[in-house]
Amino acid sequence: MHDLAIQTSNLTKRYGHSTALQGLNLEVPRESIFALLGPNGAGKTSLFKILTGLASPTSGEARVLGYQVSTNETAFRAKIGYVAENPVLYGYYTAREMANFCASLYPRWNPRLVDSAFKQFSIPVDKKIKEFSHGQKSALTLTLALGPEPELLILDEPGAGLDPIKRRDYFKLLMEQVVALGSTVLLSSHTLHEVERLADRVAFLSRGRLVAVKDVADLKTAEKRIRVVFQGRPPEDVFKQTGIARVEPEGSGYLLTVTENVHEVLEKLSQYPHFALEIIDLDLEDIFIEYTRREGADRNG
Amino acid sequence: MVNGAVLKKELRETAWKHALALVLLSVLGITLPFVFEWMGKFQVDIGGALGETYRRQMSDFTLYMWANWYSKNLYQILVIYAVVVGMAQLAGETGRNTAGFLFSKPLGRETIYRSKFIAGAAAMLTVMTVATTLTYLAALTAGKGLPALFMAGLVVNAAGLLLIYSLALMFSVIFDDQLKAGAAACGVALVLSIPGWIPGYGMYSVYRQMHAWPVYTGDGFQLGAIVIMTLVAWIFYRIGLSQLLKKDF
Repeated sequence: MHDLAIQTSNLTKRYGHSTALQGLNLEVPRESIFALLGPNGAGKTSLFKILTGLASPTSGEARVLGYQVSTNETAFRAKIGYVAENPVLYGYYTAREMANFCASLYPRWNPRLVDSAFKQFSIPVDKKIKEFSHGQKSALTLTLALGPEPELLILDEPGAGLDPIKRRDYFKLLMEQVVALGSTVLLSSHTLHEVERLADRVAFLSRGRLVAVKDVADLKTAEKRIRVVFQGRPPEDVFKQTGIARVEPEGSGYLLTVTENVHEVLEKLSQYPHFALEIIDLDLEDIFIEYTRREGADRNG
Repeated sequence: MVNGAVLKKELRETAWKHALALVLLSVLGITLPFVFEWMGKFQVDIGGALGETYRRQMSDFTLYMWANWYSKNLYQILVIYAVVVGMAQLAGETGRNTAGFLFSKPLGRETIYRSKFIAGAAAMLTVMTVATTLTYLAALTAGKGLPALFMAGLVVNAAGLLLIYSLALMFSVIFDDQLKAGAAACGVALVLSIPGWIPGYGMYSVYRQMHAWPVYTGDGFQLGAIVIMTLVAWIFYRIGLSQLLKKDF
C-alpha cells in the first residue's frame, strides 16, 4: 500500500492572472493528522479543491490515496470525507433525508456512527436543514463527512459556528474515528491551539508556496524566543549566529527569535555580561505569526 | 449511467416548476374546447386576412384546436418552461453554493449531468403529454370530435422542447448565475425564431416546426425536422458536458 495519503508534484493553480498555488510539492503520510496553516489567500482552499476533484490544476499533479486526482475520477472520492470552508447543504431536506441521500452515493456508509453523532450533537433529524442554526448545519456537515468511514478526511476550517463544547466533542469523535479506522486527516484552521492539540505535522503555506513542513513537536522544541538584557553595549556581531532569525529591541534589552541551535545561541549570549537571559517557549500561534512575518519580509527583500 | 438519488433530488427540487407548468397547460388546454362556441360569436367583427383565418378556424373544430394548442399555447409555454428548468440545472447548484458538496461526492460529472438532464427532460415530456391528453379528453367530453392524430403533434414538440432545454442546460454550465444562463438561452432562442419571420424560410424555424402543421395536413410526421432538432439538442448537450468536465467549482 502507498504510504502517502497525499502527494503533490509541482502543483500549480492559476485563476486568470492570479496564482493560487505555485509549484507545490507536498507529502502527507498516511494515518497522520496534517494541518495546513497560512494566512487567507495562501492557497489552502485551492489545494483542497484540487485534492477533492472540484478543480483541475493548471500544471503539476496530485495523487490522493494512490489515485491520480482528476475532476472525473470517482474512485478516490469514495474514500474521502470533505468539509468545505462554507458548506451549504440542500435546505429542503431534513437531516435524515440528507444522510440518506449521501449514504446512497457512497459504496460504504456507517449509519450507526451517523446516528450516534446526530444524538451527540443534538441534531434535529426530522427538521428541514433550512431551519437549522449555523452551528447545527456545521455539525451536520461534519457528521456527514464521517459517514463513509473515509480513509482521508479533508477539513477546511472545520467546526466554524460550533460552540466550544460541541467543537471539542466533534474533535473527540473525529480522533476516535481516526484511531479506529486509521484515517488520515488534512485540515486547515485558524484556531491554532486546536491544531496544536490535534495535528502531528504542519505545513506553512504563503502565497501558494510551501514555506515549511514540520513536526509539531519538533517545531515547538526548535523554535524559541530568547530575551536578553546586556550589561552595557553588546558586541556588534553578537547576533550574527546561525539560528537567529530576527532581533527586536525590547526596552533596554532584545527579543530574539531563534529557529535552530537554541542552546548554542544561548551559550554564546551567556558569555557576555547580562542582567537577564531567558528562553520563552512559543506556541503554534506565535510560530505561525513568525513564519508569516518572515515570509513577508523575505518577499519584500 | 444515471444516479437514482440525484434523479430524485432533481425531481424534488423542480417539482413546483413542473406542477405549475402542468396546471397552466392543462387549464389552457381543457378550456379550449369549451370556449369554441363562445369564440365563434366574435368572427363577424374581424376583417381582412386575419378575419378570414379566424373564420376558417371557427368553422373546423380540429383546425381550431390545432391552431390554438400546437400553434399557440403549447410551444410558447414549452419554450419558457424549458428555459426555466434548464437554466437552473447547474447554475442553480453553483449559485447557492451546493456544487462543491455535490461534485465532491463519488459520482462522475457526466453521471450527475446526465441524471439532471434526464430528470428535467422526463418531467417536462410527462407534463407536456399529460396536458395534451387532458386537452384531447376535454374535447371529447365537450362533445366535439377530435382525431387521435391530434396526439401525434407531440413528437415534434418533444424534439423542440429538448432542443431549447439542452440549450439552457449548456448555458447553465457556462454561467454560474442562473439568470444569466436564462438570459443567454432566451437570446439564442430568439435568434432561432428569425427564419420564421422571413417569408419562405419558416421551415427553418424551430417554433414553426413545433406548430406541427404537416401532421395536421397529412403531409408527414416531420421526421427530418425531428432528427435535425434532436441532433442539435445532442450537440448542445455535449457542449454543456465538455464545459462541465473542465469547470472548476
